[in-house]
Amino acid sequence: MEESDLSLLSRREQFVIEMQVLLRKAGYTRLEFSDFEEYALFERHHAFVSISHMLTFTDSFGRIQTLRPDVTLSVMKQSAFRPENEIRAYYREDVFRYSQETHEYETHEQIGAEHIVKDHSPEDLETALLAQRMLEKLDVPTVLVLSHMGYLLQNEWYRRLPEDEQECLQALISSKNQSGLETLLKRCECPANEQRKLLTVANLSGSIEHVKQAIHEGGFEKEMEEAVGRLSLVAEKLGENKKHRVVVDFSLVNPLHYYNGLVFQGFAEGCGSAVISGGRYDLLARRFMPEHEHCGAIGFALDVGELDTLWK
Amino acid sequence: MLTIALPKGRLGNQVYDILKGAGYGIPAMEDIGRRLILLDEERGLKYLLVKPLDVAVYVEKGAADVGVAGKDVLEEFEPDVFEMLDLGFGKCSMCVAAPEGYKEEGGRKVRVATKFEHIARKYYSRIGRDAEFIHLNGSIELAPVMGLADVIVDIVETGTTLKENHLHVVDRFMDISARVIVNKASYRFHEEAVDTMIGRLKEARSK
Repeated sequence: MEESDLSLLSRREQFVIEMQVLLRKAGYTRLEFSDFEEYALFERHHAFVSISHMLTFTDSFGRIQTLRPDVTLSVMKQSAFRPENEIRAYYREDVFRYSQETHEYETHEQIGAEHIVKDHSPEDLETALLAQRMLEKLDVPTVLVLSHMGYLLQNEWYRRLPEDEQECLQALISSKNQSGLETLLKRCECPANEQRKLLTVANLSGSIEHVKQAIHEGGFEKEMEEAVGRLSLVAEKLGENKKHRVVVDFSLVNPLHYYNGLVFQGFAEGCGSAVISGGRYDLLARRFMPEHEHCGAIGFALDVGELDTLWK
Repeated sequence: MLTIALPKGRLGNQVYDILKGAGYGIPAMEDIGRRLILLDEERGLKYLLVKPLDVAVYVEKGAADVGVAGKDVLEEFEPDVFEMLDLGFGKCSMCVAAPEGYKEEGGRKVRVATKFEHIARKYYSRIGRDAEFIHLNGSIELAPVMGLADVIVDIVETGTTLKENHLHVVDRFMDISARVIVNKASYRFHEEAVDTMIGRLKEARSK
């Protein structure tokens, strides 16, 4: 096939090929899956992936199968049995999700990359840079938003909250609903110093320098040391690419217990939603590989369908 | 250019007033007529006039960058948007209301008529009561009167309509007011303009 033959394909198809080439060059090998996965896999890990509204059916052996709403669990399932210590895998799969808005099931084509290491946690930077390189290929202004779940997950007061209150608090943070957050913190009798910290940090958004300054002025350096330290490493390196903006925003939190460190989202001008979502999920990796207590994983998915508006 | 989805109708009039107070008013807002788009070229703003229920859809999908929607709409449709400001007007409550003299029969599902099915489902799930939902698009108060439902879940502002239909509030479980919502992706590309607008609206709200 000549290179010019690619022009016969739609922009979407060309992009998908371009992304796969990029991932292969970065050392990632493709994992392929069927559209179906055992429902039990998702049920066992329901704290990590929402199991509501999954499309299920009983196969000819009486097992409940589902049309996969997420690929990461399947990647982890496969990876746990592989002999290598370090796995860089990518996938190109459809996922099937229920839309609260249309009350219908939608198919999303995703290209994802996962970096799993069995004897230590993989670095944040490699994966974040890979996400940035994928965004660069879009030829429109992009923004990569970084956050760190540590400021919540390592907060003793937050950890003692009942699970439904934790979810409520995360939803208020992720919608930047400051008045709602203030009401909830008061209702849950959050101590005054914790209230001040959560209200300040959850509302922080801007360059890493701006965020560091605000944390310093608020006197939260000690509690935020790990999150800010890790974010600095990534944000400063990604910030060297002046064509694409990098923002730290602590309102970016994941409502499920999936991510435990760096989380990020990529946005492209003209697309109404995030086109890339990802982060570190060491805790999930350790559930799949309990014999590797120091293992870790980080990855992201790009929703190809979200990019259609750019090519219309 | 920043695109702002505004609700038509009664809530819309209050929104135009606060926009004017915040320095975003344009003469065309005084007499909108049947127009659906208003342009403020000087400030680089485009206003879309849409049904209150549709504001959240426009903003979530990115057809508008900013919008003003009632908390009831946000709770019903749970759009993935930033909810950045409570404007403090359009205040009312989401309530369970029942006919005068109504007594709960624990032995069967309670029949609930509502336009806000998702909110009603969440409410009954939270209190652990089995319920059956009847979705209606208006005149909800009629349902218990005609024996279609035991109770209703609906917005109550003054309570006059309830009273006129011999209903009373059993539980007032959600405060509602107008909120400024922002598309999560748009915010990344118009952060300064959005933050300025939110700041000015906050000032106008406290005047």
